[in-house]
Amino acid sequence: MMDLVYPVVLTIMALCIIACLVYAAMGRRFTDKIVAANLVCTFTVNIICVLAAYKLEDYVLDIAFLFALLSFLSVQILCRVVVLHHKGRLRHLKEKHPEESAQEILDRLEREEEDRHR
Amino acid sequence: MIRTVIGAALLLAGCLVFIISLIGVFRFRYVLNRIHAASLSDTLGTLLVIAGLIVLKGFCFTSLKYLLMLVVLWITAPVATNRIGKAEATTNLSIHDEYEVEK
Repeated sequence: MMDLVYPVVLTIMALCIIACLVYAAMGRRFTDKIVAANLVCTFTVNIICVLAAYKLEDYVLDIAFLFALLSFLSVQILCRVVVLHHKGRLRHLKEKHPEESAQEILDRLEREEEDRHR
Repeated sequence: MIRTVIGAALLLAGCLVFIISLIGVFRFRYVLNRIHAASLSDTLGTLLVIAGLIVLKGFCFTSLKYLLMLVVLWITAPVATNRIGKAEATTNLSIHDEYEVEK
């Protein structure tokens, strides 16, 4: 019975990963892509765990453990980069247009982002 | 035999949770709604899959490793989701049109 269940579970998870890649390509904002990366990492860790039980290779679990830690680190770094990029952009606009108020600079940044998404 | 049936049922339930969370990710419109659906598979889906594997394996050194895996994922995944939410709330300028945010 388990010879049937393991391949079914692995196939479902692989299809989930493909759906995540579609979502990453379709997502409008950059944070959408980070969410997709986080989901892909979760599915991959689960796939490695199931494979370790399917193939009876226990040492594969250590790789899954490493993968979980690395996925956590990658999401943290990506979030940090996104926030720093946003803050740098704000600062650049403030230096470029010193006469404008904070609200006007925010509006300008919003317009820039809309143009980029168009 | 009964252990195999319980383990297989838990594994398939985990897959069902993954599919439900993906449907949620595709159906919601904004990122802060989407991470709510995505974190479902981070916690509940992983719990069901790894619990199924532990039941199938029985109590041994490998199942302890699975348990450690679950603990690590349960600690790291909500933190990662929280960071994504914070980054979204910081960088999204039209956030007040999309959600009700407390000031």
